[in-house]
Amino acid sequence: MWSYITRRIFYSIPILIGVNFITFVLFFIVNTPDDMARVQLGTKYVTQADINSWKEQKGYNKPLFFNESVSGMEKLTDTIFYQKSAPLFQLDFGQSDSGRNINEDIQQRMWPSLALAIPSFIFALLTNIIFAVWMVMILGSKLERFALVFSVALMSISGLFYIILGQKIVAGLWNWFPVSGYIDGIESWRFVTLPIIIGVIAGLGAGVRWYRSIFLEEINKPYVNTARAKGLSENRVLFKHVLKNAMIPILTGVVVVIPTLFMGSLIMESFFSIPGLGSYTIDAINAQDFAIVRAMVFLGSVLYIIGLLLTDISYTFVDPRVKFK
Amino acid sequence: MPKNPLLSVKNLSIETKKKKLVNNISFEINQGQIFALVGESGSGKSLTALSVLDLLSKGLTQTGNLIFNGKVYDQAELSSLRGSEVAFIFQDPSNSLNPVMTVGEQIDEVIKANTSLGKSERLQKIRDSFNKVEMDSSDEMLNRYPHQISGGQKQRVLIAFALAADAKLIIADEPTTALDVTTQKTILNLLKDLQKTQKLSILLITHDLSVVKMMSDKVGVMYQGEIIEQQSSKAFFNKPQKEYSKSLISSIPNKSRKARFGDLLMQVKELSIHFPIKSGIFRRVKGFTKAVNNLDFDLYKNQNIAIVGESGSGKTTTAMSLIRQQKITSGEISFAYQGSKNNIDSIPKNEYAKNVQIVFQNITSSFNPRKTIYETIIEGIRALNPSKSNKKYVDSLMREVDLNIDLLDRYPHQLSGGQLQRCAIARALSVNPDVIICDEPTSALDASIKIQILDLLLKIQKEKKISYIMITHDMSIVRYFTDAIIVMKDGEVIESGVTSKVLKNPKEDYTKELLGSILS
Amino acid sequence: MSIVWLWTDIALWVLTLLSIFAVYKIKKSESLSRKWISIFSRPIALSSFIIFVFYIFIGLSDSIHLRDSKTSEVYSLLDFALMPVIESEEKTYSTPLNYQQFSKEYLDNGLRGFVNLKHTPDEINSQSENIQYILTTTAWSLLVAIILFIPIYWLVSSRPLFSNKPVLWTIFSIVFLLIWVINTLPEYHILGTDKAGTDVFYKAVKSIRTGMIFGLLTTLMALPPAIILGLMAGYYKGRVDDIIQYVYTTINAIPGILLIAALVLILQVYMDENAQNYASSLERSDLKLLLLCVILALTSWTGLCRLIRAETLKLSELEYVKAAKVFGVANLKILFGHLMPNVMHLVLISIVLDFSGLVLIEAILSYIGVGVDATTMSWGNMINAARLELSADPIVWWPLASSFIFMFGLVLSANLFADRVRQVFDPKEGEDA
Repeated sequence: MWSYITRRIFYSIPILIGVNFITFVLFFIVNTPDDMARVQLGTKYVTQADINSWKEQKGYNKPLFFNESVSGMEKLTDTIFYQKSAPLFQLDFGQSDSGRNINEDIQQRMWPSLALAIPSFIFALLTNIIFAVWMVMILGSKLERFALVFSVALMSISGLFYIILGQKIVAGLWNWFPVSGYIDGIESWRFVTLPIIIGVIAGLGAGVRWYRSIFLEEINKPYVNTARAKGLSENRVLFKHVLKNAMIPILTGVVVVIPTLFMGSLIMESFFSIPGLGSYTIDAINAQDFAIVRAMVFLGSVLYIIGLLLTDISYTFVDPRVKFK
Repeated sequence: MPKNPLLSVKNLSIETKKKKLVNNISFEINQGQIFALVGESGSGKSLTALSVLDLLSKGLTQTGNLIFNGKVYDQAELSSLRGSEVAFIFQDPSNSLNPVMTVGEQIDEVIKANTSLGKSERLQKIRDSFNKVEMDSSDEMLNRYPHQISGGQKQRVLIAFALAADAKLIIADEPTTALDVTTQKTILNLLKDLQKTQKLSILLITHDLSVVKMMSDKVGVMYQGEIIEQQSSKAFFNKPQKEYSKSLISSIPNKSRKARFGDLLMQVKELSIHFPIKSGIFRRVKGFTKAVNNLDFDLYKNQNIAIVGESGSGKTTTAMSLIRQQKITSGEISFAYQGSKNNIDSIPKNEYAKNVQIVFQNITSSFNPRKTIYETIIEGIRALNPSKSNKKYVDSLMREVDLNIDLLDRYPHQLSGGQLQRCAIARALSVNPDVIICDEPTSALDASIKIQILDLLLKIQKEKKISYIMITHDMSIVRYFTDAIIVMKDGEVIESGVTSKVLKNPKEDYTKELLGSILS
Repeated sequence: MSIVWLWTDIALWVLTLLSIFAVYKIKKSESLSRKWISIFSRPIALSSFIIFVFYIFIGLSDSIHLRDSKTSEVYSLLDFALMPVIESEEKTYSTPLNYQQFSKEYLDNGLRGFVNLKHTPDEINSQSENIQYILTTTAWSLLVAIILFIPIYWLVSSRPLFSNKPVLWTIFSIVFLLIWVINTLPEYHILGTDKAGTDVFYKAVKSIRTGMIFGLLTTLMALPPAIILGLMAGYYKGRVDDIIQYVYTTINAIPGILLIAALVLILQVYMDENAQNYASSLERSDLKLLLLCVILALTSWTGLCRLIRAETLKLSELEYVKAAKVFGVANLKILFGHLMPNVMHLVLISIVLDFSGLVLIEAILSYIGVGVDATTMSWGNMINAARLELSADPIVWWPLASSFIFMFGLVLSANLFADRVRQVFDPKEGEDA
């Protein structure tokens, strides 16, 4: 098992380098360090000297990928790409282009993100599975047909509609919750409840249908008929046999997103003005702050890879057939 | 005065919205009796079995009466029979057990659902049932998951379910088709013994007449949803009443082959195919699985060789290496090409393919479902024999395999298994090969069609002096079809020689075991 | 008048030709036509499809652009039909089907009051007259619709697929709606006007094309890499498979929306710098729309690629592929002749399933500020602009509601249709016809 995990971590390094390379190339195709300097320094009264000193200060005064002027390995290491990428692997994100300490920002902003993302994730998971199980229990009935069409209708409504209507009615008209904003600590529940509810409802249609199709696929397998033939009740067949086996495909879809919860939700956070990592990213995109975007992309990729690894490990707990080799 | 039957099915019909699948059938099973329901796939026999316990999938409706042990059951009440009265053994044991529960848990569920026994009594009962099906009943076995036991053991566990709940009737739906040949017989013997010692009744669903002959007291023949003939097993085999039944019973002639061989065509010397086992962080090769180890044989013109073995014996890997679809680890395969013996790797690929062709086991996937038969056959001719890529030539091939040329415009799903296999033979013949490798060409076919295919191959051989390499696990066709035999197990050659001699006087136990698996 | 071909116009018409070709292919193949008949045998699927096609027709009519040689303005065929409302811009908000402006202003007589709109029937001077006029138009339209529907009914009812209530109602509703709009449009702002006085109905209808392009072109552009790489990975295995898997895992690892946002920002910067290269703002915004689809395709091909790879791995072990190899059939022929047709059901399912998701994503991207050009009419832009109007008092609800309803109609019909397609084509779903 440890050898497996070590190997997986080993394999993920080229992926992270690839991710870094892609983001790097993307940003530098059109946005040269000079352009970045102009954006950061403001357009008025900027001389080339100012730009150069900004580049020097921020470490953008080297060649991108290959340094002709030095020798040996330094041809590769004394470049913007290497200098800016290597610290990322130690999770040292350095300073943003506007001079903020990214690590500090992340440490401060991760809590609101988690306060929103974790409950959203758990409630959505539970609601989706409960409704899906219910639909399987009434499989073939008129009510189930209706529920099916209803869930298609739910997923056909834009997520923005739920957000806007929720803010207008629940928060604006009825004053149950604040429309937006955030306070640290216990009081935060008042600010995150509405986005959580909206998030659960917005994902309900698609989620229920996904879980339902997993259950249906499982319910048509031969061992289910064996269980019935043994004289077990339908409920026991469903909960003891089908649900337990369905956990395996469910895990593939679910575990991989758990680490990325950390990144927060771009849409929800910016709509509800929650100062998490999601809104942090959006602000950075709008301000064209390369350092922050790169840090977030890298962080997201690391978390995704951790998610893949966790998925594999979690298999060993639910599927006795899986053994690491 | 006959006893009351244990199970009596009257006027059973099963239908979808569009069509009737089982049409008004009736049958009875007495206490302690084995009733075999025989028929080809699609005859409705499995549906009949499922309907007894109300296990049909949604969308199928069943009508008719069912009397069990003197009591009439509605469809809604049938589920109360499950487990405690009637047990069900399914065709495919590897998928019939829940993969994420231990076998102990699964059998415990049966007892829990059908009795009110306490924990220790249940454990006792579990061990008893396991002992009765001749399984290790230790905790170690009970804590195993289905993937940790063999196919035969899984089928035993399923039989143990029946015993654990004291079921009076076992419905066994093709209980041995998915098992290895040597295991098949032991499972059937076990069922037969249990029937005697436990006074069980068995409804046996099968397509295999030899199974019926060995097991059953009474036979019902199903054809297109109806039972066309029903009588005692003895009477049935002595004097079948319907033409269809006769065609089912006709079996492979028990005569040996006599043939004169020509020149040496193919020579295999010390052929080994090993697959590396990798492990550790850097995936270093830690060992090898020896799929094929030191295989030797010579093949002459007009000669047929059988490579016999169970799944995992390496016989299919060998076949793949003979058509150059599998790299070999060591050894040499040579072939008579342009008058001299050549290593097959030195022969141009297309030239070699013109000489050595293959017919596959899995008939339905031998043809691209999205191409007509004509398109598939002509594609091969275009690639290897372009001068003959015309409709006329394909027509002549179809006549050679006794098929109507109208079938050429059909898609694979519109043809029967036997027809498709004939098309596959036509495709192989299209390049006039010297050798055709037949990878279990008949194992997916019903008994009567099996002989037709073998006879067709022999007829073609007479005309064209082709040699066949028959890859098979079925000893019953070896005598009739081949001149030499190679018995393989776990990649090793166990025994080889002239077919008639080996069959008459097998030296190795394993060969005897395989021969013993022929049910007669 | 001369025809102007925008990039997206060309793409859409190519796509249309492709689908006509596909229909021809389906008609030729017996097993495929049976499957499609089975799809349409569900009234709900056929009704959704009819509505979907109706949307598509509107979108296509908005995809033939003509340049007026005098004013050098570019109009689409749809614009000509909507000309009455294009030419009558109001000063500011008005509610749907109203004859007066939404807010008071100083009248000629010096008092504050509601001004009559420019685009309204002349003879109307009170709310009751207005209602009466609308009711008369509606009744008149209903009558015409019924008369027109009789021959349609006569044509259609002999076909078993069409002779059921939901489908007939759908067709009738579309006919009625069309006639009602034709009758009302010259007299009214059907869905009111927005802050700048532009007709909301016009904007919502024009947005159909944007949504359609987004949903169709993106998937279409994601198909070649997904199919080719998926087939290659599954067929060649080994090194090729490793590399392709590496590529799509890497792309998957980057948080999708971040990647899109980054790419769009770059695009924006690039287009701003090279603004002189575009003949008109229409062409510029059109190119941006197209490139946006390319960007989304770049990030979304991986899912389908993975599915196709897995399926190809399974298929390439099948005997007909082995048989083709034994016969020395060229690899490319095996890839595209044998394997590709057998994974096309996955492609079809992913096209229909992704369509609606993409239409919805457009709105979200526009909200984050990385969507289509601000001058392109799209539901996302409409929602974005209308978001603040909700807090106005009295509430301005109609621009928002209109965009949501138009989007909902398209997405729902696409989803219901997709559902049935998947049911029939996905072997896992198990057809319950």
